[in-house]
Amino acid sequence: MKTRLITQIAGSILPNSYFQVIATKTIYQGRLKGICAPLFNCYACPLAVVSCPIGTLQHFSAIGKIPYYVIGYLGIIGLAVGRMACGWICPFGFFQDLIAKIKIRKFRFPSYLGYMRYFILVILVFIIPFLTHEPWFTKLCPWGTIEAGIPWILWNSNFRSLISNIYYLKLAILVGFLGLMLIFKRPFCFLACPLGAIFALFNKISIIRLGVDIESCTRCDRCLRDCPVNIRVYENPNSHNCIRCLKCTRCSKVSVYSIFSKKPMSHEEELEAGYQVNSKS
Amino acid sequence: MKIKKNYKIIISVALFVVLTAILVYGIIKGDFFTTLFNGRTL
Repeated sequence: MKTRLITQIAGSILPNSYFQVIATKTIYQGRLKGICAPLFNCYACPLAVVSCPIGTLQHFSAIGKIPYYVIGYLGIIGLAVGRMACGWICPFGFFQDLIAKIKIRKFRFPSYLGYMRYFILVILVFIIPFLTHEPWFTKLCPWGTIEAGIPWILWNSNFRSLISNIYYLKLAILVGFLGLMLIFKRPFCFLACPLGAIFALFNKISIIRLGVDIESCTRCDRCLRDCPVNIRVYENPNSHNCIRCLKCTRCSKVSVYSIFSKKPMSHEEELEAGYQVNSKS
Repeated sequence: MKIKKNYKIIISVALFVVLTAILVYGIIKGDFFTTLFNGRTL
């Protein structure tokens, strides 16, 4: 899984490589900012060179236009790989993975809480920005606070006059999520990420999927222990909560397949077909 | 089983075509430049 670590580091650095900000002290607003990275990265981060797709969706809602480009772009990525971007390149996901390494007992969210993401997507990203003409999710986003809100306030004294009650509210939201990160794995991804909600819609119909050899699975819960979002993969391999990190594929009973190839065969089917079965674990 | 798999492929390909058309339409319309808003984070 070193490959995932490398892609997560790249996903954190490449969209944040505007180092000229040290001289300019203003955010990059060149042509690259017209492109949305398929990950959660704040547009207003001093180092950001690309846009946040959620910020863009809110902007379109606020101006009352349909975001064709973002819908098509995110849809194609979701259709191809589901939520894989969450598990492999998202900087906020990576940040939460790092905090989860702190050795404190972790709890599991009930799976129904995963539906909160859709509520936040619809209410804070579409409806409220449309009605108020303001990007309300951005104003409250905890990752935006880490990447942009706090750095700008500390670095550029001109921004301090812009601090309002909303700034303290977003700080409180950040502190709340930081606390949750200590006792839950990836709480933001599970409960609140609107981008994850969009990609999650495609998990069940994406071209790349997970499959479990149910007949030979012993339900030992190894997949549950490995999973950063605490899913029992044998119960629902393509759950909308799955971030497709593929850690569960360390178990030989779980595998990745594409709808264009054959679904992984059960142990009995392999024996019937005359295949030699090689156990990975 | 084979029919079910073919359905999945047909649905995926159809969705892919529709989403690509939406993406291309968005690019032609100039959505790239509409995304250049001021990041209002404070």
